[in-house]
Amino acid sequence: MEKQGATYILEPFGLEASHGQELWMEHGLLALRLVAVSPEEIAGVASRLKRQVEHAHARPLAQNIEALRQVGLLWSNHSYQPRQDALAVLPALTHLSPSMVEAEMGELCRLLRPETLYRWMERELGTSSVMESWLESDAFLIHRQPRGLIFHNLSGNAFLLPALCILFGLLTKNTTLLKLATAEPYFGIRFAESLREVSPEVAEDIAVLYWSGQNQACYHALFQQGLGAAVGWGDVRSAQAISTYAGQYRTRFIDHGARFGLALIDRISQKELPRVTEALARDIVPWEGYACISPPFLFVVEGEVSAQDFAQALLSSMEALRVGSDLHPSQIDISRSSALIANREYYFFQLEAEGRGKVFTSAATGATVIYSERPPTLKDLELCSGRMVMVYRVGRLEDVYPALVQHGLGDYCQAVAFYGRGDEPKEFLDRLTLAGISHISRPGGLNDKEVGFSHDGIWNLQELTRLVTRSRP
Amino acid sequence: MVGWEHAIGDYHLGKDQFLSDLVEAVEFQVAHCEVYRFLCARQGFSPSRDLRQEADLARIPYLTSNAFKESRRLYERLLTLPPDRITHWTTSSGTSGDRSVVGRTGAEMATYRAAYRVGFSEYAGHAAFDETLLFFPDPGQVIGRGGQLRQGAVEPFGIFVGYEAGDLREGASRSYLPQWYPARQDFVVHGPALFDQLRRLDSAGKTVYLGGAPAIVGSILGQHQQSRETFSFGRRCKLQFGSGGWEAVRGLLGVSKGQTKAELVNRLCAILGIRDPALVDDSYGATETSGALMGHFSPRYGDFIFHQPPWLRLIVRHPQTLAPVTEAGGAGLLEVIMPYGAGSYAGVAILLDDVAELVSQQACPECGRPGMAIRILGRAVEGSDGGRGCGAITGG
Repeated sequence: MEKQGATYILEPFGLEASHGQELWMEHGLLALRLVAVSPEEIAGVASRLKRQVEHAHARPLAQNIEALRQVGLLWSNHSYQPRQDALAVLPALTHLSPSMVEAEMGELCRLLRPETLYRWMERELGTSSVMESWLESDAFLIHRQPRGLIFHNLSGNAFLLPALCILFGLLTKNTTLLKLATAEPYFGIRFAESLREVSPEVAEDIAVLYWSGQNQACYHALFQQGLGAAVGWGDVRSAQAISTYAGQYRTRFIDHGARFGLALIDRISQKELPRVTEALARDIVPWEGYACISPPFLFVVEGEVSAQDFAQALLSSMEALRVGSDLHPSQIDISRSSALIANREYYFFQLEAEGRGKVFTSAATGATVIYSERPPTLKDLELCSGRMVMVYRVGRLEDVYPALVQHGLGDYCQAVAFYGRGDEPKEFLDRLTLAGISHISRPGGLNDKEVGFSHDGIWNLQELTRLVTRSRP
Repeated sequence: MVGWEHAIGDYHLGKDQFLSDLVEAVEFQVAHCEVYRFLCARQGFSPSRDLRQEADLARIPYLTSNAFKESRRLYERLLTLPPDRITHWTTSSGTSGDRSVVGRTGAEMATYRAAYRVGFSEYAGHAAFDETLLFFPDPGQVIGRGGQLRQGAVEPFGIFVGYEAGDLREGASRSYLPQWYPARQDFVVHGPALFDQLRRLDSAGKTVYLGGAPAIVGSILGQHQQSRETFSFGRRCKLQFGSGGWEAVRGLLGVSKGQTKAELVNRLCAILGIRDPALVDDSYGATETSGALMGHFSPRYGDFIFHQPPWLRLIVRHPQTLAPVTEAGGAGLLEVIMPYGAGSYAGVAILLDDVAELVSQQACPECGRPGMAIRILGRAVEGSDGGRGCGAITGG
């Protein structure tokens, strides 16, 4: 007997009456109906948004910030129907727990306060007024101009990302076209609809569309219109594809992905072990390992504690947090359950049976920590996600980066949770960032949300504007 | 141990016989496959000690279907025989993507084909058909064209099903309808010719068997859309699906996943004049196991209900606990346990990446066949666009 669930209709945003292909996506009892727009429709929307650039530029920044403030108030309101719907839909789409979705929603609302937005602009641009006036700077007057129509190619399940991309556009007076990710096509459209609710005028700057990432004609139709910049948020294949279009159409390409986090543990003591593994579990468990900040690999320099003992302690901490916190999804999606079982099996045979590692597992489909005596590879990056991480023993800190580079992982590592005993190894950390790491935090701090934090070294407000100068009169 | 040729098709196969054959098969695999021996040792499992009754089946260490994927480079280590004794390197369907590779000998191939043959035959009835129209490509055109592995030529596993469907009596009229079109690089059924044939059979009052993969049967829908022609076969037509997935049908029909099978069956019945959709059958199998399940359509469920034959056992494992699902309506990962047809590889207990729902532990609530009844809900495979998202870029 067919079970009946809720159906949610997602209309393309910024396009009147699409004639694209209707698609259904099903997640458990939820059904989403969305529309894959056609290349012609994309070209039409892009053309409109290019014409809109003049209006976006002329509109006072304060009007955009006020619109964002009001949107924040809407989403803070517990009786706001779209919020209630989103809290029902997003856990199913993102595999985050309902509490985690609510916590993230709270972070977004905090972010949309004017004082936060101005502080953010000050941190990245010096001052918000540089967007609207010429400011004195040494021998020059400086000003920042929007780049025009910005295209964001979204990927993955980070549901706040489309809201942030819209926010970036409004703070920088660009117009914005989002291509939604198949994994999470919901929140971007609902957020844009709430913006239209408070300010139809400001919402004219935005389009939120869906089409298949495989549909090359759609991308050509878009890039042919002439973009101010294309921003890639996604996996390697997606980034490669967008960079190819950007090269072909001489478009500025801003690459945010794909990246992963890392943890480095230097000679930890028995006494410190529980505290540090508990902190690391907070970087891993709430996200089910699917956020780019979550470290799939933990490098351990042995001291008092062996890497195997560290792996076992980490497993205990991950499992304790998984069972004990409502920030963790209580249920595992069946496809992820299937992948976890299969990936564990891979390591049983490829590492443990060969005497090159050990698989530490909790009961059933709980946390899994792989202890490996060979350096991680790209294949391991593919497999160590969800509830599975890998611990690798290194002789000394200096061996970490060569081990990553050896198997092609150096380019993808963005943030490091570092624990070390005694004095901070400043020289080592400096070399680590020279080699490509963008952010270093303490264990448990990889998801800190503070103004000025950049998970991958890119300050978006800077990237999406051009600095222009003129000589003083 | 009774040979496969005695077990497959024996609807009175005793539970004790099944269990002792199972112990023997697992012991053989432990003795001859190092990887499986490691797995059993890791889980502290001894077949002679731990496999005493049906309730113990869930304790048998299983391999996942992923273990056989080409990319995992393990398939040769999953053999119980030296690779040079393998005569058939069978693969999952599709020419691209990560195929499963399973090494088999003639005995395993015969088991698998027999499993389909008895299933098709049981559900189609044993009466003769005037015409068998198969929407499978002629297996002879496909076998041997599957490319090369280091060890030898590979063969798509599912294609052999085409040999076993329909009227198999000597001299019976059988046609493989899809023809290879080099320009399209695909097998295509010529719709007008198909309808000419159906019209002739229908008006002559003949019986006809139609079998094939669900997506290929879409050619009937396509031709009907052109001609609007319908038939009135009634009970003179047997429709049995086999060897192929349902996912491709979704796009064909433009319907959502939940509606697909019911939509397809109802439309085909309306076109062919089959009054009772419960007479439409489907079959289910996987490259990694030599077993096959048969099922009939259920208008009540809007889906096919598959039945466990006496020569294999099914376990639906809860996605969270991995324990067997015992409540009707519960869904989980499907495991197939079969002591027959796995002599060349460690394939007695295979956890598939398909999701099944338990309909009944005891018997089909509709046709009354004894044994577990399940539905197949789809694949448990993560989407390609589900890459690592960026969840940490919020400032504020």
